Amino acid sequence: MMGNKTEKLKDKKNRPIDGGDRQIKTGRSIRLKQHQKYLAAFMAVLLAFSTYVMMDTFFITRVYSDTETSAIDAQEQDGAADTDENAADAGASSDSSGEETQNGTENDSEAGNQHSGNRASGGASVGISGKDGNTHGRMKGGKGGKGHGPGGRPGSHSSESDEETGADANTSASVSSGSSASAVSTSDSYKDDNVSIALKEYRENDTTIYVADVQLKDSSYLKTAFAQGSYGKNVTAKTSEIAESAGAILAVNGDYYGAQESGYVIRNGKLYRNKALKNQEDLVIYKDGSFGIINESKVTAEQLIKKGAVQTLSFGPALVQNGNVSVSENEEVGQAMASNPRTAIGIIDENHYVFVVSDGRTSESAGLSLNELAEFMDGLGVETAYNLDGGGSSTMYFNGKVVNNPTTGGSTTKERSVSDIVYIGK
Amino acid sequence: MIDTCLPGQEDSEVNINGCAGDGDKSGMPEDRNAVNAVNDVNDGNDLKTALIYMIISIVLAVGGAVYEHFSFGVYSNYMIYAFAVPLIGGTLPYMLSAMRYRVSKTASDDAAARTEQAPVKLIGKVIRHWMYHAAIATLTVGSIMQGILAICGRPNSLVIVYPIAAVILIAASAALSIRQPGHKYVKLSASRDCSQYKH
Repeated sequence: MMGNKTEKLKDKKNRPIDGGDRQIKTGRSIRLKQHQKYLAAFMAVLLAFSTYVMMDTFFITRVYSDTETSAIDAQEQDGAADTDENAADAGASSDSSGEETQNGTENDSEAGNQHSGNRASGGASVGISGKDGNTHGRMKGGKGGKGHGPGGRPGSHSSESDEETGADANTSASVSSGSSASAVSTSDSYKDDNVSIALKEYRENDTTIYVADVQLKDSSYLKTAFAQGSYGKNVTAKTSEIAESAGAILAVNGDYYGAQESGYVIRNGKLYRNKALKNQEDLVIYKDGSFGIINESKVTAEQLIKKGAVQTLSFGPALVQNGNVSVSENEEVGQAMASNPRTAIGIIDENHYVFVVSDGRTSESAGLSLNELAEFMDGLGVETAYNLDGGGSSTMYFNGKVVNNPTTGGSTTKERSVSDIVYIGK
Repeated sequence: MIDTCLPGQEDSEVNINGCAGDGDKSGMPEDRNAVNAVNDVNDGNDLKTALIYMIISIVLAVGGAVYEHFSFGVYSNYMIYAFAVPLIGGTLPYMLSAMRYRVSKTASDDAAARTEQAPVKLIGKVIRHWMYHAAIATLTVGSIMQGILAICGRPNSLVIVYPIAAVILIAASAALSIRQPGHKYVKLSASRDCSQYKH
């Protein structure tokens, strides 16, 4: 439309310009305003989309049923013997050093043996193998191995002798009888015929560290559980709530799988997520209770199931492998810098584990770097240790109580909701 | 603002159109003051836009620094460098454009402005299209989102939408700017009636 407005042209300093009147086309200014409207509309769409992304990341809950997850019962996999499996095993065994970190390779001659459960001193290395004949979790036996156990690290623990383990004269011991055995439970210990747990507190690097020394009769007592009993995204609950629901004696937060969109999720023998995260280092717990460290880029979740994996934890990194610290002083989880609350799990011996949680981000406890955590785990005598989700998630639950000081929302002492736990059940 | 006489002529900024369209300057006197006036307005608008982008960059830089300070040492380069998107994508080209107008205003020969290189002109049009501003906004928001998710350790595949959308928007603004008839802003018709110069 032609303009219907006439005005004198003026320059920036409001001086009339020679040349007479000019016709001003109002349509042009209308188009300008249209463009501004387009931009404003686009910004509104951008804001709405960004809001949706935030909601999807942090709030929108998605629970996946068994039909949506590729739930594969480990028993079904074990029962299926086919040539493919043999071929895969043959290929895997020759490449096992790339797939898994094994705790020592010098005793390959014992690879075909089932573990004897030998905890005798003498330092003999025992090869642990699954049904496929691969050695995938070797633990040094007894006192001959490196380290001294939680009570033996010199100068760093509040309890100086093993005799104090489980014997707290200041608290009453409760005895309960169940179908299996009578259990003796105190504020820092638990013992029945199948499970023995001793809780100790350490002070290192201006940080309070809680160590639960766990000895099991059978590795089946080492389990995991999902928040609200469901696998899904943003399905969370406090560690203590999950532990209580699961009937846990001892529990720590897991790998917070729900925050990730990839990374293997195998829990209690079932495969829930087989989408690999590139170069992700996982902790694998096998049916015989042994630990292994794998790289998701080099082995599939299905292969792990076939090898007898019952649990995978996908956070990392591995702290100790083959009895050696495997994190440098400069290595950190993601972009996190030094001192933070930490959670870690390690294996000392056959069916002998340690659950470790450190406080942090408070005036009482600064927190630990990954290297400090690794050194501490190494000092406990672990053969393999793995870092789990830390920061505000770090929580240890024992005998019905949260024993550490979890911080969330900064330095506020408050338990954070997490998506899963690792626990010792009855 | 100085308008064209021709309906349908897209001119989102204050370029002056000759009534007879591009290149046809016959019979039209040069109006140096008008050219300077336009350049003054162009210069002023570009500086204003550059200043807005600069303020946005500063806010993002400060916000990123504050966020990092309270994040217990957790940081993300996407959050730290989010300010660079409006700075490089907005402040810098508009500052250069403002300087260009100033140069042409003082040029002894307006032909210098007329013979401005085509790529430069195209860039000038592209950055003035609303889609370009939308692209800068998209990239900036995307960088912030990626930073937040990285710091929280909660990846989300949806963030890939941001850079894809930004690329599409920039391509669209370039395509639309190429299609747009060229405008030279060195001559004005002194006549009130532009009908003789209609296309």
